[in-house]
Amino acid sequence: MSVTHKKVCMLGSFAVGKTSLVRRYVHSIFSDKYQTTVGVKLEKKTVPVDSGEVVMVIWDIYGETEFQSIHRSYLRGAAGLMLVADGTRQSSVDALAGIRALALEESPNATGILLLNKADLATEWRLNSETERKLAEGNWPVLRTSAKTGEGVEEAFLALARQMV
Amino acid sequence: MPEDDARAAADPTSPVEYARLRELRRIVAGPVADDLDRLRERVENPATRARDVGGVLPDAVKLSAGRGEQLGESLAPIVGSAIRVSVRKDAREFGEALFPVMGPAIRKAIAESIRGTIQSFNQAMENSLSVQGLKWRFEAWRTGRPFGEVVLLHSLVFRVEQALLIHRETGLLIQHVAADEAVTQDADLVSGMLTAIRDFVHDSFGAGRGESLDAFRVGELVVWVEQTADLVLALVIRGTPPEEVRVVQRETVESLQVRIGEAAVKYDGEQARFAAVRPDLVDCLRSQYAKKSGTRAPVYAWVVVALVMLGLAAWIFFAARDNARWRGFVSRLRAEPGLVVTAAGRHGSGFVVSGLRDPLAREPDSLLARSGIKPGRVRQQWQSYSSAEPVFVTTRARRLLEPPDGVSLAAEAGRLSLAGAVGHAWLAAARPKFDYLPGVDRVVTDSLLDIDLSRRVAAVESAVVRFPLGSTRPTARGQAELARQYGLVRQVLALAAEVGARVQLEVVGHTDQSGLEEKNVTLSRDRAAFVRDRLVAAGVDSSQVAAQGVATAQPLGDEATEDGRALNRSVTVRVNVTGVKVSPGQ
Repeated sequence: MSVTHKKVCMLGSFAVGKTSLVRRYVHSIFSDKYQTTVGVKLEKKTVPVDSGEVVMVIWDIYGETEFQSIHRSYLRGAAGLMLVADGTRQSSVDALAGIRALALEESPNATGILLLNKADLATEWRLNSETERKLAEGNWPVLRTSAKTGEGVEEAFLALARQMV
Repeated sequence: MPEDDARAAADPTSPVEYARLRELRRIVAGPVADDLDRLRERVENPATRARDVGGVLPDAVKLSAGRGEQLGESLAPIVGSAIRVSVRKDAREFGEALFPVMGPAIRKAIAESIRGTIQSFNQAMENSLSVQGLKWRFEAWRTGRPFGEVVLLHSLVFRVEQALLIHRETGLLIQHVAADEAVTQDADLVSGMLTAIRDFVHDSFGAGRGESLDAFRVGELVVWVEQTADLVLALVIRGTPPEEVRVVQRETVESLQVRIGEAAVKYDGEQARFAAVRPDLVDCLRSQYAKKSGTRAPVYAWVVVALVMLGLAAWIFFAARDNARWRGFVSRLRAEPGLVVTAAGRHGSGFVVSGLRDPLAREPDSLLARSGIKPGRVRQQWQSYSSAEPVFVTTRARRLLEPPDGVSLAAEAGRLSLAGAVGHAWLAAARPKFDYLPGVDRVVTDSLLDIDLSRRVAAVESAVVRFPLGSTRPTARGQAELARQYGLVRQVLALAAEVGARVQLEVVGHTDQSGLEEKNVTLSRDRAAFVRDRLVAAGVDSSQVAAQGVATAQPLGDEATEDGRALNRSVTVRVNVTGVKVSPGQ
């Protein structure tokens, strides 16, 4: 049984719930303060796959705002991208395409997954069909998750792990 | 000639047959035959072939590189040879081509070297601070821990606690080793975060290409980072590592780059595949405990021992000198007349002496001043007393008696002897004081001439009481002389009594040579007895008076003349005085 380590970058707009999404499912030795200072916080998640285990070293990168941009160097060498948007905020969903393009510039060989978070508030989602169609164009799975209920989270890690190996 | 034709047809080399065959091929193969011709020409023409290979070579190399190291191995000698040829041909051009790469590398190497030198210098400076050893000893004393333990705690120069080999591009950990006693965190996360922070610092401070955060310190820990094209080797070090560690680190990561660089380029995160590099990383886990404390401790010990010995020697010297001075002082005190030392010894850091002191004795302080001992260190307790030393006895006697000049005093064993000539009045006045002279049991005046008494005695002895021839009764002149003599005797007795002298009178009778000697003897006795009796009758104690007749034996005058013979018919009195001297010739 082989153990493979993979760099995974978790990206998304500010306050889409990236950190909340994984907090209960990952191991970290660093405090949330790192994100606001260094702009990234590392977490680890081990996921079983057919060939063994994938140790996902997750770079939980601080959400891009108008005041702070993503350190592009953090994106380098990623094997997996976990792009997160807030289903209740259209702007965060719209930003995904740009973020994906940016990430793929640094890590052209990376695979990825799109997460529409806050599924527990799905009734408040205002995503139009055009948006969902555009998301599906990238050939990356689109999953609905909820940091609050845990819905879809494990599945998301599992799906990304399988894509990477 | 059908037979000839048939033969020609059977021979393929014949021109006829060849033409037939070409025709046949043209009919059967058609346009393909032209293609074959062109292919043949391309294969056989070197220029065409080179053009064809050149067209596909880049793609061929790319494909071959993707398959493994075979192409690289094949090309290595050719590339090496090509470089050598190029250098031989124009070294300068080659140098210029390499300069953009070599320049920064050389500058970096020089900077590292200088930094190492400065660090060594710092260490040397640090090592030369010898106070540290003493501080450790103080700490050991203060905390009650063995000195060796304190030294071990402090003398850790450095210890490489962890080595992390990181994939440069992804920040993923390739291998991690740690010293047994080191406290480690999740190495996967640490290597990632370390990469992130290095990126962060690089981006934040606008560092140039190839420049990176290669060292940082947190408390006692320092993290050194060395990188190559694909690998990053981070060492977590406790203490102050020497520059050699940096050299080892650099050599290790460079060696690993050569060995696993290509594999690392395509690192897929499977750490197990790189287990072979662990010995290299373990080799980086070096440590050093300062030997300085071990070597320095004896030096300190020797210095301390030497100082202690020196101090001890000085203490012994000064103590011995003090003791010698003290003993000298005490012995001088004991030898000094009028001082009696009853106790002497040390008292704390000083001395104490107590005893008796005659007021006439020398001041002890004057002796102390000459002893070399500081007066403040000696406590003295003296009680007054009168010394029986002759010098003090005579001094005190002289002060009390105030004798006239010329009188000498000598004391011995409680007896004070006076000698010389004195007036009677002084002697009479001094005598009552004899009982109160300190240290004097008895005063001897036998050698003291009482001038006044002496004169009276001389007067008594010079008086001659004359007798008529053959008579035992004095002449009229003799009677008068006897009366005067009696007065003189009374004076002598009175004076003698005043000075404690004893007087013995010896009355001597004389005759002239006329008549028989035997009769003269009787006559002289009778004459002496007469005078004695008259003196006793006058009041002289009979025990003080003796009488004897010497007849002609001791004549006073010349027997040849009448005056002489008349002088010989007489009585004289001798006065024996004891207790004082009455004659200078005595």
